[in-house]
Amino acid sequence: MEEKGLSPAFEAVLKDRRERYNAAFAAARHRRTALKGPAFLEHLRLRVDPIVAALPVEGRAPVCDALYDLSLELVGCDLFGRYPVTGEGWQRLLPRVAGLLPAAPRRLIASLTNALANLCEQPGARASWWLERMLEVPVSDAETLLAVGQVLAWRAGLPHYREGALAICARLGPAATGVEGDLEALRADPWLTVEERAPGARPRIIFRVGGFRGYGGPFAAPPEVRYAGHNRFYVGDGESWWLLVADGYGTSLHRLPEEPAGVPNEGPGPGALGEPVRCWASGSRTLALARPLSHYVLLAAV
Amino acid sequence: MLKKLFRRPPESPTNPMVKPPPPVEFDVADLYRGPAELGIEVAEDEEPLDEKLRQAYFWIVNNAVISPHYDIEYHDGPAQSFVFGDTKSRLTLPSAQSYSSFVLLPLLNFAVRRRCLLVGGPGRGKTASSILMGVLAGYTLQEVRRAVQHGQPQMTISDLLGNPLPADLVQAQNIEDIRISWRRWLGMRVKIIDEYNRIPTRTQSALLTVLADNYAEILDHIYECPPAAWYLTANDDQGGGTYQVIEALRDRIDVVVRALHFNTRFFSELLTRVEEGIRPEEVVPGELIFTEAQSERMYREIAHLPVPFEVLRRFEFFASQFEFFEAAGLQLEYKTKDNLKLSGLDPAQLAALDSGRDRLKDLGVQTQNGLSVRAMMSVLIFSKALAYMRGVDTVGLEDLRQILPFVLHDKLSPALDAPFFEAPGNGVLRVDRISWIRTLFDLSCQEYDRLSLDKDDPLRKLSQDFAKGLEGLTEPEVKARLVEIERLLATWSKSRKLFGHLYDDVLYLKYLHQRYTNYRAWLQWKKKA
Repeated sequence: MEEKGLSPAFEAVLKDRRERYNAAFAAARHRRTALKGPAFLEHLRLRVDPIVAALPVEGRAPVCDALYDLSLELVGCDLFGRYPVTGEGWQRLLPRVAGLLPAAPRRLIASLTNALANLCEQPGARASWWLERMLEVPVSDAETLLAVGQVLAWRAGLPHYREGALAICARLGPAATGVEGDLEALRADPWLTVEERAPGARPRIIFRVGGFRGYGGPFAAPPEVRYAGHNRFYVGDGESWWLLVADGYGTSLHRLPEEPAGVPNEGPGPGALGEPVRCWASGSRTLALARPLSHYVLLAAV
Repeated sequence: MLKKLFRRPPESPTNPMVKPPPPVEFDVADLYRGPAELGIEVAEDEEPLDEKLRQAYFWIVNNAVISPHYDIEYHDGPAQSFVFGDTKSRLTLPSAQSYSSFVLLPLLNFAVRRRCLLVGGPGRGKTASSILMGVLAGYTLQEVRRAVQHGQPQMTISDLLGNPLPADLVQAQNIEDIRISWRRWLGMRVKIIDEYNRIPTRTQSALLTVLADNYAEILDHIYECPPAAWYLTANDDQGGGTYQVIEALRDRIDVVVRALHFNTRFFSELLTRVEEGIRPEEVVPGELIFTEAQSERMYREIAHLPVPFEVLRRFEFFASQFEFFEAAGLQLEYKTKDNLKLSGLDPAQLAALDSGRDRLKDLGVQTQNGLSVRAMMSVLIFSKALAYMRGVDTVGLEDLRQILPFVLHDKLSPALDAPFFEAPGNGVLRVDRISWIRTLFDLSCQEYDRLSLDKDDPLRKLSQDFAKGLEGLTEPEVKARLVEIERLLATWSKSRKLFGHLYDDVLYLKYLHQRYTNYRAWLQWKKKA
């Protein structure tokens, strides 16, 4: 199959800024040993060219500079190799929002790339789902686009952004965010989702979080749980401590710098679940428990 | 070492002792933070510019100008030092973040928009450093290079400032109708004059107007220049250029930076540059560029940085040492080195008339001149800039101590025949002017401490009382203050020899006495009226 050439727009920019780009590449290669010429050229052809081709003529050069500089950083750390969906974002999402780029090129490109990378790094989060939804968002202005992206990221499996996302929903309204109905109910019960507003049977176990480090999980030893307030939990394995956040869309663990002091439980014990329990902690809506000899924490809606 | 080359802007905080980062909290905005840096497009007006200035400094020293020297030393605890050789050369390992003067001072000059002279042999990076400052100001490399004024013996005023349009010269009926094509560099915020000591004297005078008064004039037309940071380079600051630099031009230079030698252990970095064709000025990270608004804000923030009274007082004490020359006049006000210089007489001829002061101890004997007001202002603004760059809230004594030698380098001329330079170990200070000025300040501070002026300054209360204003003072109060002034003068006249600092204090007391006397006369007139 014949390889597709560069668009005339991108060719013109490369020709015009050849000296700068060559110097920047030479400089970047010293700090990023993974940066190789052929792979970088392939990245420019595959991912940058469609964006440049979609750019308005006015303000094209600064956007190209930002794309080029960011490419050096991201190809240099193999971001597109580690998380292919980020590359898909460059190929599909950035050309779609090209009209917004001249106003703040680096900020918008980096933000959307980082969002995809953060979703990829979060176990259980749905980066591809987020990308597909973002492709459906009407492109009006960068601020709205990014705000809607934050709401969608929460729904894609980043539960620690629930409060911030609901605040955006209240500010922008259902037409922009697609989140309709009673926001207060969503705030009050972390297990309700935009799609599923009925509480369902409770108590019931919803997530199993963690795992043995030897098999790719985070914990070196069966974990201990403490209540952290606001239906969040501290989880420790004798070496490190994490903050565990969960809601109807997923779970996330955040490493803490030191051992935290828990707060008194707010909710019922694990008796109704009928599970063997080594330790537990509970909030008004969520119960966390660890079974004997298990490296997992079970999260139940109560 | 190769991996260290051409890094991204240094990660914040560059001086972590100063401002610890706030604790991390969940924020939905964090979704957009990650491996791709967002740059400075957000909240340009809120960006902490002291941090940005430090980032610029570290980027330059790590990537652009190979200057692995830390001659501006700071300590936050005991520092180890080692002595080498028969001459007892001392190496001190700074215990706090320290800096290379060759990079730091041009950067501070950029921040406070003053005039910096870079001196050193050819190929030491003087022009390259200046060009980097232009790039930091947001100009393209091409613009900066085109704007560099290269001093040469045939340089005319037109070459420097611009030309009247030829068509207008022929057609114009009066001089106002002649339009001038001004040179573009005049409107730039960074101005570079390369080898300024090769410019003919007449053109130097035109340059002086731009440098000193910030405007250019051709055929009665005036071009007002924006505030700018000036960089002048010279291979030799002792007049070794094609033309002698006019004194007024030299006097306008606020800070002098000496290019330090190249450390041969860094050859590999040179090799990389040769092999890869890397030119650092072409790859200055966008995050380090200061917009015009940021430059303005940075200057305002620096200017408002407070100088504590204790620090200012020590600078006053230091500066007061040098102008006094007892044999230069009969009336006290004229006993100055400036008066002696105007007379054209040789100071050595009058030195014999000097009273029995200890010429080794008297710091004023070490200099041929006193400090100008311009020099004192330069010291203050550069000390503020250094404190700002370090991220501290007020100017410290060490900031002042580190800045003094570079600002006074060409302002304070040593009297090389002074007994001080004959003392064992001091001969080298005839050559090393930076160390000499720093030693002068240290000696001044020792004397200040010996006199216990921090605790017992006889003028402090009088000064504070006067600063409250004269309004509302009663005649008995005024009389009491006059008596206090006279009592102090009487005490000093009996027991103390006249040194530079005392000379200023005596004249200050005379000033206070005169103000109170006039006020008392007004009170008496008012009472009668």
